[in-house]
Amino acid sequence: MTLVAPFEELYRQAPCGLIVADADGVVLEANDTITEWLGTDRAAFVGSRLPDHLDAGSRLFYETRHMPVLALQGEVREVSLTMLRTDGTALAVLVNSTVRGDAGDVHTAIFDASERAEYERALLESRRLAESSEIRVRVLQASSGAFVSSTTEEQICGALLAAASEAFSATATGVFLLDDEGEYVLMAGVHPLDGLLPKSAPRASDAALVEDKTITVSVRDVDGPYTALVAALEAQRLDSVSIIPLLRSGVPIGVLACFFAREHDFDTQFADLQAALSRQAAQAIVRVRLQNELERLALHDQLIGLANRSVIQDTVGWGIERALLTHRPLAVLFLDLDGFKGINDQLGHAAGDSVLVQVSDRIRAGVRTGDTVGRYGGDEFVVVCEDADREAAASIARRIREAVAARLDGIPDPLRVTASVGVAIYLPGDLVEPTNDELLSLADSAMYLAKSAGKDRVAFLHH
Amino acid sequence: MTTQAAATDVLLRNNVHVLGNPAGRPLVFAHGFGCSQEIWRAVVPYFVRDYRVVLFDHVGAGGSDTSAYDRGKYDSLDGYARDLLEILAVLDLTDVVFVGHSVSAMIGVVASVDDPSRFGQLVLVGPSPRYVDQGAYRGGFTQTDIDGLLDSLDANYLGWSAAMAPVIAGNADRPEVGAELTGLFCATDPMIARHFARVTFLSDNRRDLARVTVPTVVLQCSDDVIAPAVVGDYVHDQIAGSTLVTLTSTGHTPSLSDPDELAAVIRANIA
Repeated sequence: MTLVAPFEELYRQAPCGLIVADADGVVLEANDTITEWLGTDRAAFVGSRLPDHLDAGSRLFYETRHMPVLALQGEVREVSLTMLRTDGTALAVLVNSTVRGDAGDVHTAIFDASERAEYERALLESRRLAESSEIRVRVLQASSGAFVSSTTEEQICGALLAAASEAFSATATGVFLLDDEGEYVLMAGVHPLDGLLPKSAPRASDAALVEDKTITVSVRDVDGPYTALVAALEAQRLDSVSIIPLLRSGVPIGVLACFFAREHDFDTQFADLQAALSRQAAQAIVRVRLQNELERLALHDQLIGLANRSVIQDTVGWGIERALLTHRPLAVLFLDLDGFKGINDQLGHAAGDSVLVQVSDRIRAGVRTGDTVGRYGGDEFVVVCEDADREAAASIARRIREAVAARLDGIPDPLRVTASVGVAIYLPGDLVEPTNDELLSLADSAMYLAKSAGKDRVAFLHH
Repeated sequence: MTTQAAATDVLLRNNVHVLGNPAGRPLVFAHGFGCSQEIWRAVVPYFVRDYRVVLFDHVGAGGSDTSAYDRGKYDSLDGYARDLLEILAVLDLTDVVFVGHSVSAMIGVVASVDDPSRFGQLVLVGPSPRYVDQGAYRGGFTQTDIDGLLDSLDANYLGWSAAMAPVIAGNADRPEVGAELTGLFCATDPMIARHFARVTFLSDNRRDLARVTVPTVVLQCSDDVIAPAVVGDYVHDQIAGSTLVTLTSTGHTPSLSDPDELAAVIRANIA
C-alpha cells in the first residue's frame, strides 16, 4: 500500500494555491489549484515571475513592502493582494509566504478571498468617508470655537491658519488681509514668495476676490496671466498655490493662500471645507470689526453700545450657518422688560434711559464670551448664543433675569424692572433650517409665553 | 546649548546610526518607501572597514520619531531632503557618498540641488523622478495604478490579519519572534504609510534632475517593475555627466536580492 498518490493529489488539488518560487520571484513549481484559478496551465506558469501576475497596485505593494519584509523576516502572513487571471479579470487573494532552505526559495500559499475583498472594499469606502468627514467636522468645530472666542483680527487669522494647516497639509500657508491702501498684509503664517513678485504683476488674489472663487495657479500655467507668480513658485520649488477669497456681502477682506510643493488633485470635499472655513473667518472678522466700531461709538452714547436690530439679524443668520456646519445647537434669547413703561411714564425719559443703560450692562455681564448682545427696539433685547443647548441657554437666561431684577441705581423703591425671557433653540438635524427672522420670531413667541405665564420668567421653544 | 539639543533631536528624530571607520569617507545609505534602514543590513558589512557608514530612517519609518511627522512638511520630497541635509550638518559631513534607494534616490537629488557642498557623489539605486505617465513621458504607472496601491495599503493595514489568522493554515514551525522583529524594523504607521505612498508615487521631480551638479551613478536593476529601464535611461539622460550601470539582479530591491553585487558595483563606481 502506498500513500504517495493521495499526498500528491492533496498537493495538486489542495483547496488553496501552492507555489514555490526562487528568491527573485520566478515560479519553480505550482499546483493545479492556482493555475486553474488564473486560467493558465503549469507549463506557462512555471518560469514566469510572481509580480507579473499581480495588478499594478499590488505589484507596487509586493515590490516595496511584501518582498523586503519577506527577505528580512523570512515570512509574511495574510497579505492581501490582487492577482490577474489570464483573461484580465481580478482575483482577490490572501497570501502566506515562507522562505525555505539555503537558496532562499519562497513557499507560498494562496487563498481565494473574493468575497472578503468585496466586504473589505465596502468597509474601506465607508472608513475613508468617515475619516474625511471626521476631519471636516473636527476642523470646523475647532475653528468655529476659535473664531467665536476671538476678539482681534490677529486671533481670527491665527485660528484660520491653524484650521487650514490641519485640513489641507499645505507646505506653506498664509493669511492676508487688505489694508486701507488695498495692499495685502500677512497676518498669520508665511509668505514663501515674499519679495519675489513685482508690484506691477497682476495679482491672482485680486481675481479671487473679484470673482468670489478659489483660484489655483500652478507651475504648469505658463500661458496664463500670472507669469511672475509661476516663476516665483518655480524658484521656491513649489508646485501650486490655492488662493481662497475672504469676502463678506461682496466686500473684500483678504485671502487665505495655501502653497503646495507637489501636484494635488483637489476633490469637492476639499473645496467645500475651504469655502466653509473662509466664510466663517470672514464673518468673524466682520463681527470683530463691528464690535470695535460699536465700542468706539459707545464712547459717545452708551445706549448704542449694543448691536442694533440689523446686526442682530445678521448674527442670527451666521449662527444658523455655523450651527449647520458644526452640528452644534444655537440659542437665541429674546428679552422684554416688565415694568419699564411705568418707570418711563412716572419718572421721565432720562430715568428710562438710565434703566436701559443699567440693564444692558447687566445683560452683558451675564452672557458668555463670544455671545452677541443687541437692543432689538424699545425695551427689547436679544442675545445670540452659539454652541448653547437648552441647559446652557437656561443658565444664561437665569443669570440675566436675576441681574435685571436687582435694585436699580437712581430709581426709587418700589419701582423696578424684571425680564421676561423667551429662548429659541435650534438644533441642526433633519428639519429644514430656519431663517434668521423665523428663529427671532420663535424667540419672540417664547417671550410672550413667559409674559403671559406671569412675567419675570423664562420660556423655551424649539425649532 | 540649543545647537547641541537640536543635534540630538535630529539624530533621534531620524534614528541615525553611525558605524564603520571614523576616519573614512562618509557613506550615507537612505531607504525607500515600504521599509527602513534594515534593507541595507547585508550591504553595510562591505563598507565598514573603509567608510564611515551612516544609516537613518525617514520620519514615519522604522525607529524614527513618528511624533515629528508633519503632513505639510512631508507632503513633498523637500521635507525629507531638508531632514537629510540636517543630518549631514549635525554630523558635519562633507564629500559624502550618498546611496539612495527608490524614492530616496530622488530625495538625495533634491538635497544635493539645495546644497551641493555636502555631497561628493550620488549613487541612485532604482530612481524614478515621476512614476505616473504624462504625455510622452513614461513612468510606468497610471493614476489608477497608484490608487490601487493605496487600496492595497489600506487593505493590508486594516487589521484583518488577527481576525483571519485562525481561518488560514499557518506555518506553525516558524517562530513568532520573526513577526516581532519585522514589527520593529519595518514598523510603519498606516496613516503615514498612506501619505508617504502618495508623496512617493505622485511627486514629479523631473525638473530637479537637470540641476544636479554632483557626480552621479544611476544603478538600474533588470526587470524592475517599479523603476523600469526606460526611467533609468531618462534619469541618466537628464543628469549631465552621469554614469548608468545595469545590475544583473532582478526586482526593485537589489540590497536584498543581491547585496554582494550591489556592494561591488557601488564600490567600483565611487569616484
